[in-house]
Amino acid sequence: MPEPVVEITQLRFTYGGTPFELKLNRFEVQERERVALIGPSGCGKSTLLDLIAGIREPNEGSAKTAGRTMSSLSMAQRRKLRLESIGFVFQEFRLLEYLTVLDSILLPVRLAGKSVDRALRERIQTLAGRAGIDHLLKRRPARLSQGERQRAAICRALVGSPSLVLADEPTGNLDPVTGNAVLDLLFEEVNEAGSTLLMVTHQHDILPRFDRIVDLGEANQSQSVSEAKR
Amino acid sequence: MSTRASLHACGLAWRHLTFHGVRSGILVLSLAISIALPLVMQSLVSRGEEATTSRASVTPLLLGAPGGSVDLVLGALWFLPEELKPLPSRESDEINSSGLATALPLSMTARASGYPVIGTDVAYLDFRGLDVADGRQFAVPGECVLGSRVAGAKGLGPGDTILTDPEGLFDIGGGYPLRLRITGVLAPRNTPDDGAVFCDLKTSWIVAGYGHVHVEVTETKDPEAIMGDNDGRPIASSAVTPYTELTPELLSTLHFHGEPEDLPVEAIILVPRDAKSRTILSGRLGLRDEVSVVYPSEVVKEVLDRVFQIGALLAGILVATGVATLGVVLLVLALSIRLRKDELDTLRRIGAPRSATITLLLAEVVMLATLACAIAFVALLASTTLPADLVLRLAT
Repeated sequence: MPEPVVEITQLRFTYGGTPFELKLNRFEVQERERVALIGPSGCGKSTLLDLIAGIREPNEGSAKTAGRTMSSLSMAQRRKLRLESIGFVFQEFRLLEYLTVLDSILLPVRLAGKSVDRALRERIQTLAGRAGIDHLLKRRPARLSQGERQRAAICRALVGSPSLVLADEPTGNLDPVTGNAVLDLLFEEVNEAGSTLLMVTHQHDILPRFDRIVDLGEANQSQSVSEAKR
Repeated sequence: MSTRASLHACGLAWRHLTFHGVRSGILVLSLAISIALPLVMQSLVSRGEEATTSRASVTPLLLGAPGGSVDLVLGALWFLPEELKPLPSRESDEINSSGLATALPLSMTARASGYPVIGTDVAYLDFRGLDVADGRQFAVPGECVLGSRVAGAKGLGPGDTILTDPEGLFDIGGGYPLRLRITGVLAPRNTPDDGAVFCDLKTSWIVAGYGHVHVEVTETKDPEAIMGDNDGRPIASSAVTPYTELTPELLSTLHFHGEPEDLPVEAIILVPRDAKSRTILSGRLGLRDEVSVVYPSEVVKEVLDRVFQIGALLAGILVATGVATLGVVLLVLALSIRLRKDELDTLRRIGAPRSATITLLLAEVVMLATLACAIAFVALLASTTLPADLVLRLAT
């Protein structure tokens, strides 16, 4: 059996000075699996994504992502891992206001110090074409609709063909129609790239699209992952 | 971080700066001003000092009536409208006769279109290295040559005329303005001479009312000139010209009230034959109470010493202002970083190396500072190319 893309063991995390505590005995996400992370606000869904990405460090236990144990990596190594193996999609898009769509999509590639060759340009053109934003590549975010911004953000997350895509309520700021279209794009691209998807969501109507649903609220209370559906 | 990634971080910095063009522009200008102001000030002061001392150093000795030596130097070298006591032109003749020095008298009371009219000898033009660029030097009373700045400002040249200013608007007993015929325009020298009108001493005495020509109103060919007769005395109408012109026909009627050697000059430049003559001359003249002999370079040095004390204080104030501006700019940059918290967090989450984020922020500061320094450098360069005379005129 292949090694899980995400593997969390005996994890405990607290924000200093607050009563918040996230506890997980065991949590795994397999390669190419599409997992929805649900639960009430404040239960630690976004925090879990941060722990998986190595943005935060657990107080106890370990988080293993793409075969690397985060606690054993330096901050620079964790950043490198994120840049090369993890794609982030945020609820509030987080596109840099001064970059065009094309430059936004190229941002992770350039930050990694990779050259932008013809093959990559063709890939971006294809990606943007499938996202329906190939005619907007020279525009800045201020001149895009909300849906177009999130499509651009998805392209940015997927341009490096990451093994893991972490999406934090990517449709939270979109109307249902636009949200569904964005989700269609995200699922298509994840499938196309052969990536694993872990998405935080509050939208129960989209849960049937996932392979597995994890209710972190229950998991956190019972210290075991509750699998609502497989 | 690779070179390519560093360059990309610099590129991001440039894009951020250009995206917020107005903010960046204000920051660059503020920085440029705070850098340039003390430097330009220092440069202008140096050039002013250089211009001042160079003109004074080529003027060996100055003779005037007893009074303020600073006023005498400012009046005789820069033609500033100082109230100088006169001394008889005889002094000039006597020094020339002694053979110890060449005396160059200066009569500086008249003005034409606001510019000083300097009555002197043509030797003054040679002494100051003033070449006639167009036309010829003045030769007879009523003729003048213009400094290049006067000619340029008034659009005048050889063959034109310029009217001296009335002594007093409401002084009906005062001398008539004199219409001077322009015979030449001097080549520009970037000295106060560019802003003066030069004529011979007699012309300046006529303007001052010490001499005149006779114009018979009854001999005019204009029938409108005479309004009537009052016991044999003609009554002139306003058709009679309110100025005098020394035409060749009228020159024969020119006469002065008193002996020319008693008529006044305000200063005499003395150019001693040699060092020995200079010592003898200053010794002889120094013994007399009715004249004052000064070394312009020493007077200027005293004045500059005082000016530079004030200049040093001003430079201190400018440096303090610069430091305060720099503080404000740094504060703005710090606040800008706080405002960019989300952007920096996004970069962190994406996985941008810490060095890339630092490069991004530092590159922005370096770019702003470089642009500001470039502008300050251009301002400094421009200040060094300003003509020294213009620097002095700006200062005064």
